[in-house]
Amino acid sequence: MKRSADVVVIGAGVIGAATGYYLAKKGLKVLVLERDFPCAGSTGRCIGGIRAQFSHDLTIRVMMESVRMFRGLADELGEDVEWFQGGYLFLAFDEKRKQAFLDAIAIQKTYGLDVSYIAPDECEKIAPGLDPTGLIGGAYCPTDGQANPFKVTYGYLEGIKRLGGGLVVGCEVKQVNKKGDRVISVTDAKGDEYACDMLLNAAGSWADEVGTMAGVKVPVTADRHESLVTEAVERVFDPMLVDYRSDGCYFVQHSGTGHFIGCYTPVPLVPGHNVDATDEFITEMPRRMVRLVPKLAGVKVLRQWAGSYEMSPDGNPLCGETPVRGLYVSTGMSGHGFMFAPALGKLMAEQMTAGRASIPLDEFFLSRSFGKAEAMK
Amino acid sequence: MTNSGRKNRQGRQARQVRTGAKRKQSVTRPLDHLTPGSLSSVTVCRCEEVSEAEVRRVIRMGYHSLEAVKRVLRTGMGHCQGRGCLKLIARLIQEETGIPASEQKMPRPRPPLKPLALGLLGSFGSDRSDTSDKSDEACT
Repeated sequence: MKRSADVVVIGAGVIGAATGYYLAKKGLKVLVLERDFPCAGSTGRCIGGIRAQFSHDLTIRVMMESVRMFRGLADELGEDVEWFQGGYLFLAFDEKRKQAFLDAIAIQKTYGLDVSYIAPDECEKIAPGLDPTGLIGGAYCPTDGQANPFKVTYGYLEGIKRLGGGLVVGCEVKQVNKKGDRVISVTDAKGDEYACDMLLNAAGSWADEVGTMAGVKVPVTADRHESLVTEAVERVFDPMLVDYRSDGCYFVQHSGTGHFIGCYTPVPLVPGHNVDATDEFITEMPRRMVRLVPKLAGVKVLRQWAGSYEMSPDGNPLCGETPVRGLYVSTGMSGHGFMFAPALGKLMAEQMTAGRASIPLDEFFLSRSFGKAEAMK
Repeated sequence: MTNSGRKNRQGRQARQVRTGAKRKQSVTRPLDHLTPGSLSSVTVCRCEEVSEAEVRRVIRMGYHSLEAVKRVLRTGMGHCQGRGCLKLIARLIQEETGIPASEQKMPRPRPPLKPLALGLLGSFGSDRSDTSDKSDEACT
């Protein structure tokens, strides 16, 4: 069987869905190919946080645009994506971290972000129940927030269908077909061929494998991150709490249902696609959460799971053209794909159709040299 | 895909419903006496309050696996972790798509299987006294 489209997107995670949607809005016929089911990869395993508090200029600009877009996403997609502007509170327990926050805030403020460094007692007001032991302050941005990754992704996918495009599930791309230096189609495991003018590699932590099919090196590696969710309880506080200590954690209360959902970054990192849950996490994460907010001790854990961050060499996205004409990439989100998706999807759609995005993405281009790492990963 | 019944849902309610005599009936009783359509007003997933009609609607949208339906409707993500709903939904998928329930992949069971308090679980944590902020690797 052979089908054709203007754009074929590999991967029905939030990046593929959002980029496909904004391409479809430009009048292009978009087909999203998904090996398993939508949100089967990193998107369906993320905890839904959205923030503009970063240290890299372009990331801040893209994320401020993303936050603006999340505000209007329910109307755009006709789907309640559970956007809630509860803010992000990053906690500092030593002078070095405080200085890193102050440096980042100075950059964020140049773009007009509503962010400030606040004292421990103000942190307690924003997050009632927070144990201030050892706390010296926090970086707080009230315009950061949260949304539901599933609803956002399905909203975009349904939007693509409404605009004349489609989603093909159970479609594992095995081969990228070129004519000269130009991509012409892909072939899946069943032998079906999908012809296209443009191909977007949005395969998340498997984007390196898709790249290899086209002879393009995409430097992403999978890192396992574990998460848990608790039962729903009455509202305790609004912001995402981020504790960057080596045995820290970050968690947020879901705005609609009242579940607490959170995770931590293992030290050292755990490379690979393994998404097994561990005993270490199911005991360590609760210890860290209760240490930060003691009154959560009686709240029950429903479930733990794991997912992959698709890490780029410097923690920033890998976007844009590749050496193969017609082949584009958008991956390497390094744990921030969900929050990036609206703005980066729109900007990549501009990049692919006009050759230039309204916020130039050069510093995220696959062709860049990898230097300075993001300080607020 | 809005799910109006989801807000204000309390685990306590779900826990009460699953205890006592009803429990014996609902999960273990053979389902063969039910004819297609007879479940229309029935709640398929009690933890997340999802009706049969909602499940059928999502299957008809093209979500043809337990994993896919789970991610749209949260069926299997509640207190009971799918003990009650997954078999019912497998059957609905079979009815709607012809994919036999026996060939459908069950979502992976996730610990702790039964809800346990953060304080209890955390008491088994490592309790390292080193709380220094030395990590530059930390990510969110």
